[in-house]
Amino acid sequence: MPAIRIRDLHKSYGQIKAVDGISLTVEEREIFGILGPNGAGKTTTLEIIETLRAPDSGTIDVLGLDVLKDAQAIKELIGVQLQTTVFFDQLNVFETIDLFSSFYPKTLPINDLIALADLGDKSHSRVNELSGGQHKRLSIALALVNDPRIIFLDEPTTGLDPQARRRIWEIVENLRDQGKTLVITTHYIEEAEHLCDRVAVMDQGKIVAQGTPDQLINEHVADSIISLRIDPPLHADALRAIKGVIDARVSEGQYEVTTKTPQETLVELMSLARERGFEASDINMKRATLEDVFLKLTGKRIQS
Amino acid sequence: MSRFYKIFLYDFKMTLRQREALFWMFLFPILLMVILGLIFGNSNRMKLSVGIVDQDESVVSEAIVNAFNGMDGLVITTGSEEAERSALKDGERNAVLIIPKGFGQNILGGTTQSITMVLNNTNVNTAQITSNTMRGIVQQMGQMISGAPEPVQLNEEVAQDVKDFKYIDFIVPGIIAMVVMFGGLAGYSLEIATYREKGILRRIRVSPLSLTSFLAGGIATVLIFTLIQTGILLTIGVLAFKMKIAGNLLYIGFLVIFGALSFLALGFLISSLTKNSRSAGAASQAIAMPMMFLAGVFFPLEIMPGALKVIARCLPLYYLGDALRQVMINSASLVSVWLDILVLAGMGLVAFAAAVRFFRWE
Repeated sequence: MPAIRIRDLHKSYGQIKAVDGISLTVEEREIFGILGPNGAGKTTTLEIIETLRAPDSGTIDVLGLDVLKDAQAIKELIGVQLQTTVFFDQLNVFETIDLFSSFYPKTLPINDLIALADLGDKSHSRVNELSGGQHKRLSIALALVNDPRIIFLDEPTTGLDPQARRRIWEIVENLRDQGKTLVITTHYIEEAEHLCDRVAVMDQGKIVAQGTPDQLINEHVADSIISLRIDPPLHADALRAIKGVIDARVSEGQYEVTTKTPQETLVELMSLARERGFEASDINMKRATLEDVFLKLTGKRIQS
Repeated sequence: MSRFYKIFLYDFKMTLRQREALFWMFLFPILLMVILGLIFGNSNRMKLSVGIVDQDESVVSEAIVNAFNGMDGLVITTGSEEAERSALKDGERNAVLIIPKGFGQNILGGTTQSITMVLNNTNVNTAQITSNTMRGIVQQMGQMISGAPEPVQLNEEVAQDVKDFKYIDFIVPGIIAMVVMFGGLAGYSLEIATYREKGILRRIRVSPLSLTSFLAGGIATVLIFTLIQTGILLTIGVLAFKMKIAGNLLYIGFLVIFGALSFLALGFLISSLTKNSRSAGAASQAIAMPMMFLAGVFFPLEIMPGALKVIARCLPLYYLGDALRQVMINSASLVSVWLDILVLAGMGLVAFAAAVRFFRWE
């Protein structure tokens, strides 16, 4: 049984189609990412699964339960971190977790939760004294109080510095390794590629692609880019003539060669260098990213 | 039950940790009570309240009533003998003048006439001043009307069993009513609006906890704090100002809780109708502040101008203040303040229904 199954989900606000007919399946024990720019419909989708919003149409099953009919039962099985919750200023971390624990019939020990969320040294700090990353970690701890089977994290690292982001990634991976299913939304490419087992790429309420990050890149942008410096300079046409090369550009002495067959192209490049007597340096192989996938499918960038 | 207890406990803790809120909840009403108690405590400086019973209803008696009405330093009420005597017994009049039937006709005919003055003797000084003032005024008027040296005699009668009514007895129930109003209306509307703004209500919505259970914890906190505030104000009133509590303490407790629930419903409604915590705060202050001054909390309705009396009777706070006063000063039963209770219940129910109707999670 999949953790979540969505069929043809629609949700509009007036004239705006926030979610426009999406279908997806989240398997148990995976980190599933919903990647897309702001306003793509990621949060609305998540909130419908979390029972916070009613869909206009479509069916959503969570662990075999229907979100409309069995909302109460689902609430006990899921843990939710909302995008912008600010907690009680007058309570400390321990007290906040204790208070939220009282909302659930079955809960984990508070100290375990503090350890899981990497907040050991902060348990007696007031909530309003926490840094951005610590506050996000507290909200993850609160999403875990009922030992949920599925955990929803809505933009868990937005606004955090790289170090704080990495700490959260570690927590998320640790949870997956403990057998949890995680659904996260993000507009960070690296986050989706690094963290997610599978990704749904969303734009304007629709899923434009779905699969593992590798699959998506290979399927939609099969090309690799070889960047290098050539001395003395060479006309780009000479590079375009190489077998497998799709395009070659030069700007300020920096050459970029797009190819479907990176390995062969590289060998050809080297022999060309020997033939023509130029020196190739700073050779880098750039792999395409999910950003390139998104660009190819929508003509836009995720992060503008 | 343990769930409710924990939510209540943390809500209580959070309230205790808000210094600014504590000032408004405890220090402010106490300061207000002490200041007003010290200024008006001996009630000498307050205007004399005189009731006139006009049984004659002639041109002459009417002229006397008008003359009294135009005088500074006096608050004049008119009514039947029965009503005025009973008001005097409740301590609400310093004196009652009774102008007998036939007074006007006789005095114009040159016969000496008498007016009965019933005097509130609970405070000897005040009674002396009242008596002298009345004598002076009546003497002058008589001479003006008939020209004779002593046409009007004043029969002085000292009323029996008058309640020793001091300003502090009046002000404490008023301040308690005010505290109840602020706790429910201002405190609670701000709390819910803040929770909504911070996304806490939404976070609760994705948990199995019902909103009712969560709100119940906050309501219990407001009720407990209101009772503590009431206890402190009563204690200071009794110890520092020798205030007498004539009524049943349980009745007082009931009215405080009942009034608090009614104002909580109003606070809940404000939070449902406003956009964010700032507008909720502004709206509740805009309602609470004028109500505090206009509902007869600090001064008896009798000394207010007519238009203000009408306004006061339109404000729910007036009814809570009145009920508390009736119970505390006149040892009234809850049945006899049924109208006050009915008004508060009606407001509470209507506000609650509207609040639920317009409630928003985000």
